[in-house]
Amino acid sequence: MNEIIYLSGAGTLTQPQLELYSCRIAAYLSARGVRIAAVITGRSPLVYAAIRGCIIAGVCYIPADEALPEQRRRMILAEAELVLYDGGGLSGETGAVDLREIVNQDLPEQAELPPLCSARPAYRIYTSGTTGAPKGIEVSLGNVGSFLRWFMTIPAIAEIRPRSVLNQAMFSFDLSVADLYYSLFTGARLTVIERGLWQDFGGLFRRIRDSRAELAVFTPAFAELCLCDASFSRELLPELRVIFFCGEVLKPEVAVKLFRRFPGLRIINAYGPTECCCAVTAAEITPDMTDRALPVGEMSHTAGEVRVENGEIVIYGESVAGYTGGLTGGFSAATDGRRCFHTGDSGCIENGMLYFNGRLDRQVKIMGYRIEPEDIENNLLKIPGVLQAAVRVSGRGGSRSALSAEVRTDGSVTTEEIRRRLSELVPQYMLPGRITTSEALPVSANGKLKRGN
Amino acid sequence: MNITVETIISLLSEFCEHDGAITPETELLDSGILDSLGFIELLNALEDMGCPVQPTQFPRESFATPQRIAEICHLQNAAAEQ
Repeated sequence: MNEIIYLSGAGTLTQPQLELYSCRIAAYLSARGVRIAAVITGRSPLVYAAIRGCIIAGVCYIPADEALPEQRRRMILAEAELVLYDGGGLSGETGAVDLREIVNQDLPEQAELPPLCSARPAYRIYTSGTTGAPKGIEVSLGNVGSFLRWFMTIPAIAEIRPRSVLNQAMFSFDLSVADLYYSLFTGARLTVIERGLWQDFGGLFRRIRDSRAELAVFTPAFAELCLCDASFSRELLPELRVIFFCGEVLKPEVAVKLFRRFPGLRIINAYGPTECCCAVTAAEITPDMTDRALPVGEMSHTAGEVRVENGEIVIYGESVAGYTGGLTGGFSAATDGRRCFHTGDSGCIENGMLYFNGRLDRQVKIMGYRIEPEDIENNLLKIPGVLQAAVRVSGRGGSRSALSAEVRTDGSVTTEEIRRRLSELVPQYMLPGRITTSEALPVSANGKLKRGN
Repeated sequence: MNITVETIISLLSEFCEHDGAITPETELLDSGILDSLGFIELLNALEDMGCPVQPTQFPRESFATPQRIAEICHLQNAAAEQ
């Protein structure tokens, strides 16, 4: 009963602690009639309890990354009625509520559940938007239900029923929906990895070992990072049965290495946009598939209906969420009334398997994070002295160094200054590897050269 | 193969986010210059050059500057020659 059910570098939780804390947080939120709350994420046990508390109270939560630059974080927090943070390890904003104070109050330990309604918003996640402001995606309880029903019936998950889960993605990144909801729903133990822990590989591997994970939810880049050390193998994780990959392309050679290091391992390669709740398709990878690009889905088992129309992957049904603020983007209603999302992903179906062939627009993925180059360009244009900006993606892809920015200035701002100012506007993973500046001849709005001064 | 600090700097210049020059003493981790993807590329490149480095065998500080990384490679080589 008192076994640890949540393990992070910032502390642990037992099942009774998780229940007590999350019910107190739920009671606190219910008593105040809160409908939407931001949770400053990080790896603190109280953050896990806060998310569970929001789910119990029927409050839509916004996981706000603690590492976001202040300005971008403010834009996100402004959408919430209340901001929760763990004052023990995270910095809050003025008016934010310290979770430690809530869980130490004498609040009801049993929370009253609001009636279940599939249309009720469960969470909002913000991603890169082309305008330069973060784009909010609101996912409903019905969307989460659709995801979970599908996830729990993926053959490898249904057969193994993992009891311990290793999470690598921050809670503000929707890959974490897979491990978070699976763990909350089944009572499995969740072990999480802090963002910068890789810098201390010894510490990283101790955490991985302590997870005793049967299921790992990883981005392919994270598996590649672990594979750099020969001790990432069966001996480190004797009970690891399945890895669920999503967020970016899984290279065949990574799968080959994993099969070699972890005999008997099952690998699930999943696909889905944040707009459709984490993932909608998955393919179990077998060693005989690794001589070519890997499939991302078995068409016979999907969350909702997935089609390829004119070369674009289109998703229909209950997994399809929506944007906040009246944006419609790729969302529409199908002729039969179902919701539908045009992903902007190029795909094809061969022998009942879905393959992902890249983007139809300029969006790129870096460490699983979606980036719209226009987002970076529009933020560069906010910097005084910057006249024009073009962000390019080089062929190497996947890595931050593949992003480069070419900036034309009026000569009043240096490259270093542009980088510093940009880092105050966009998350770390959106900073281009190279910024080059050239001084433009001053032009007025109508394109004529400016004289004088 | 003997891997010099110059080799490390030239690899890092290729893999890292940095506008200025990288010197043997440039701090790589706290500054965010070397991110996890750059780290993967660096280790893969070292392995291709015949100098596989096991990151769990070294403390965090060993990767903090190009000079320290070159020292690790030197140790690996010395161990391999014995």
